[in-house]
Amino acid sequence: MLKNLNSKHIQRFSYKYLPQFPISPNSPKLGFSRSQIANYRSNFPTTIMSSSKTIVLRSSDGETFEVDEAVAVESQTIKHMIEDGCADTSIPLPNVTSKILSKVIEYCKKHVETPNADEKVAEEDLKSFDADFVKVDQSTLFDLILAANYLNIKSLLDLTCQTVADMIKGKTPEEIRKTFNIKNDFTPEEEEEVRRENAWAFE
Amino acid sequence: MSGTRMGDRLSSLPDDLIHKILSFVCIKHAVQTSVLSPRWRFIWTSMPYLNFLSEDFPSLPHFAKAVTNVLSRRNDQIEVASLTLSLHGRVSVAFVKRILNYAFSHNVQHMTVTCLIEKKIELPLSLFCSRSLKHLTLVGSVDRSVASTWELPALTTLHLGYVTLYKDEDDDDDDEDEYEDEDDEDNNIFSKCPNMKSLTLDGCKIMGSNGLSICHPQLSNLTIENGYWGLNFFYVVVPQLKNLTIVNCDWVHLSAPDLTSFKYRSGYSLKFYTDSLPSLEEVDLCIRKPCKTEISAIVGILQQFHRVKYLTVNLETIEVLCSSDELISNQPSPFANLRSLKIHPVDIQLAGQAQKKVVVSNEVKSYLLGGSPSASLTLVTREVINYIMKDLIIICHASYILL
Repeated sequence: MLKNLNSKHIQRFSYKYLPQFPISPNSPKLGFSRSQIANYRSNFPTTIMSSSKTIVLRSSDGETFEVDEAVAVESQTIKHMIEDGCADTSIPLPNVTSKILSKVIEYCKKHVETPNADEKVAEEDLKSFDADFVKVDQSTLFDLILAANYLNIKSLLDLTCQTVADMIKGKTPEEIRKTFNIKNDFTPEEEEEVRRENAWAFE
Repeated sequence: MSGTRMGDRLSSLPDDLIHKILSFVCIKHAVQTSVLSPRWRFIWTSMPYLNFLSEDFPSLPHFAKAVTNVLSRRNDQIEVASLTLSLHGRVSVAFVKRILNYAFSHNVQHMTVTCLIEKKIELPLSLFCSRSLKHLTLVGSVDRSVASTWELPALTTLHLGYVTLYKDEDDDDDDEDEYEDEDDEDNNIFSKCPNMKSLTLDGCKIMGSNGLSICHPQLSNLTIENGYWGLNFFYVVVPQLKNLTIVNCDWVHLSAPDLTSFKYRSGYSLKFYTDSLPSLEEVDLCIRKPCKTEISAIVGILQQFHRVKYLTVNLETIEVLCSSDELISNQPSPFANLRSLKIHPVDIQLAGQAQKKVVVSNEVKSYLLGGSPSASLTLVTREVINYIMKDLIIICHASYILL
């Protein structure tokens, strides 16, 4: 129903179709911040109304992201908020920065879209997406773990924790300390005692 | 990827996230973290996940020593949320029993026990007795006394892989007087798991019995694959069943009036107790090696699916229907709600018929699609598959040469 389109509608719908136009390779695949919308608004015409429900997420630094409800409810936290009726205007996520939130949205979107395709192909596609997704610096990786935990997205939490576990596997304690910058606060006597306590693990 | 500039993010994670990370690491490495720093000293003792995989250890005595140490030094107050046990050699049942009892006494919810050895371990079902266990996966074991049943009141998901159950025939005579109702009470080993929602039986065997019956009031998902059920029958009587998958399992007698999705890859010997399946929406039917003499049975099966919306049938079955049209030539189509029909081949190399072009006869087409004019038909021929396979083989060969 093309009722009275006010500026809010125009803004919402114009960027819904923006992802199809070639933009810079580093921009997120879904979820455009208001500043980006402002840039494109003048260049692209208004478009047809979209019928799927969308949810607005607000990161800790004030950026808003509009996502399909199906993508947003990958997060159990957001799903419960919607069910409890707390999602009329926007959902504030004070623990997640815009950088991390856009990555999380990218992950959720990929995992929601893919099951439509053929089974085997979809599985391989998802696996390689996941492998590339976690090739980030340590700081981002830990932020993703905390975000996945807060937003309660089981598959993302498993993926990121598995990645850190792979960084621990096969390393001696000294190597692990080096990788993660862990300060060894043990006195030599204490360390000796710990090694003796669990001698079987250090054989 | 060293963390020189930002400090120690790993140690600053909350305990439960560190536990989650350590759950992906072998138990030996998890205990080794105790020496990283004072913060890490006792983290492993409060981990609610226990993964004992014997393949991580150089020998079984090492494995046994590790398990004993972990169980004794672990914080006894902490519950065990999940236990994974993988045995790659001959261990004593007493050893396994000790681990299982530790887990049960700590309110375990998820349990996976895998025995990957030639001669299977005897793990009697009575060992698995817990009020808290919700998900159980058991692979590769033997039980010689199925007269005792599983007592798992909280169980919702059960997966049995390559389990051999010996039915004690002598017990049948004694039990007959005790049980007034269902006479297949003896065969019903799942009677004490009232909350079970999903059951998977993969490659299981029942020895010393005529067959098996699965009768369960709550079950909604059932998968049966590659089983050997004895000589005579396999009854599935599950009133609330929604999703059913049967692969390589013949002589099934099925009563599942609420079925919505059905995947069948087996022979033509499928019998239905109920006349119609009103909620059935999706069927994936693949009758292995069908032959002309079985057409009436095949047509009977197809008629059971008259409410289906999405039907997938294998090409071999359609070809058999085409080869003798008498049974279906004047019959109305049983499918009134069909939205999509897919036909795809399963046997790609057919001896002596490789060059024969497949034509679905008009009678068969009208029998299948006549009642649903808006249905879409997708027909995948063997030629197409062969073309795709040829491309894949070329790619594989090319990558071999490059390597």
